[in-house]
Amino acid sequence: MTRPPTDEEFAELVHACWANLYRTAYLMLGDRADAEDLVQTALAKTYANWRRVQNVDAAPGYARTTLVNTAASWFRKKGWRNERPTEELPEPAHGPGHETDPSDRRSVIDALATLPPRQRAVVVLRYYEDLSVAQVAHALGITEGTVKSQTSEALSKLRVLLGDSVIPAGAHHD
Amino acid sequence: MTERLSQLLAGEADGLDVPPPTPGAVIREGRGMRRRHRMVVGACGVAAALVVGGSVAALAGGGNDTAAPDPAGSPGSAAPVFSYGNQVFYDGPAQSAPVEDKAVKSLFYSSAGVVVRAGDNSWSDGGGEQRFSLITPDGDVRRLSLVTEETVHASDPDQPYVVYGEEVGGNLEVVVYDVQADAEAARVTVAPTEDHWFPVSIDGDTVYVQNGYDNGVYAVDWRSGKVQESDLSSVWEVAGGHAGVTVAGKAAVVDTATGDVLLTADGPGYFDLSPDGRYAQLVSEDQQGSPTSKVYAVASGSSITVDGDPFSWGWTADGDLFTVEDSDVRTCDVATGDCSTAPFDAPGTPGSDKEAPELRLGGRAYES
Repeated sequence: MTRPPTDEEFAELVHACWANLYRTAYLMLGDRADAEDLVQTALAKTYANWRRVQNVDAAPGYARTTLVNTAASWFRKKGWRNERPTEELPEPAHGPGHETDPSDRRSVIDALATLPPRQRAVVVLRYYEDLSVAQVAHALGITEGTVKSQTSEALSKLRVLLGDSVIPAGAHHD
Repeated sequence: MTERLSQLLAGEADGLDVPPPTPGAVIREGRGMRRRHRMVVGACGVAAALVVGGSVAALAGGGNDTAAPDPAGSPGSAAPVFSYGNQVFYDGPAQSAPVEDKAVKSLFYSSAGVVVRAGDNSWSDGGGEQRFSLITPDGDVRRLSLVTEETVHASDPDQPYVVYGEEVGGNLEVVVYDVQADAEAARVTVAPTEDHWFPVSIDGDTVYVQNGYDNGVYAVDWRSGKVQESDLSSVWEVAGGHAGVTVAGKAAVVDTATGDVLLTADGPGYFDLSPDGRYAQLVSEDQQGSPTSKVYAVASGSSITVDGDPFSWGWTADGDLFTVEDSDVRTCDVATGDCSTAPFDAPGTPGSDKEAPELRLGGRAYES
């Protein structure tokens, strides 16, 4: 379809993409309202830029890329969510080197909440979206070196909180 | 080595309570994005400092409910809008609705939907009563109580108003009509007049009106009632903080706030502005039948050339060009030159006994 979609067709697209985009958005942002806002913005941009999208099959990918780009632009805004990530690591439940219960989902989301926004996005894109270092760098508008260093730093923090069985020492998944 | 982390992230994502999609809100926001944030004329720098008078009356029952509706209101369609006879294609060629009148005279973009000026014929003047309808974004057709005759009208796609000037008791009055509320939002007395013909434009809170043939141009802040003389040489084309005027005998586009000349044509004619003021099509009155026409981006001065004379192209509310062909509607992005088509079956058969109904394009003035 090269013509713009009708409202009904675009509404179908929204229904089809919404849940997956929301999940990625929530993991990156950690806030339900922000995640919903991000998804809506990404899909609205997809609607507004339909000439670049060209067809419905390409739309989900375009929307996902737009979602990450938009999140990255939010991260660059001064003060965005500065209050959220904690620079000091929270005390692990059983101390470093001990296991936390990996079946506790809240521990994962709580651990992500300790990361600065960009580090958190890097983790989500690499280990949830399974993007390569190069793809993450492109999506977030940062260098591959920065992706690697942010990944390393994030994994070190998460290892303390989630335990070695979740993130073994030396894990980089390159 | 990080498979467990991936599993936990996936588990967290799968366990989320996902809120329901909001396609209506997405589409509204998408349409809004397509519109450039428009500059509201505040200082009116091209106008003389002299305040010449004026009074404003808030109408519609004397309350303020309709006098100050949300200017940001729900944006209307950003798709091509056009009509054949009394059939209005209000959101691209796939969505149409009939108005209960004999023929459409012109179409205006507003934040409340498409405003249709219709009557017993499609003439721009001399055609008797001009009756108005509002077609909302969901296709409802509402006949408005507004009826005019021999009057020039204008709208602002970001606001729910149609404006016009009329002579009342020897004075030129500017009327701001709220099409959402179907009531006058304001009426401002501008200046004494002996004329009955008042070209007009509305851009934000400012209504530009010409007092007949040679009695001056005024910039009217319709909310406050403040009236100022304006240096604009023409008020037919004012949008998005830009005005299509004549400077030193040449067609030009100026900034209404500063008076700076932003664009000048090499030859004669005038610039027809897009409804958002971002683009300008060079029109020469003797250009009808010309094989091509030129369209400029006001900010950059870059241009594209499109097939056909300027009168065969309309504007979408957010500044795309479009033309209606026999089997499709072609829409072009002036910034990139990219065009796309949507299928369309034009009513009326060339060569048949019955004359094809008249075509009217959104964003093009059929006023005189």
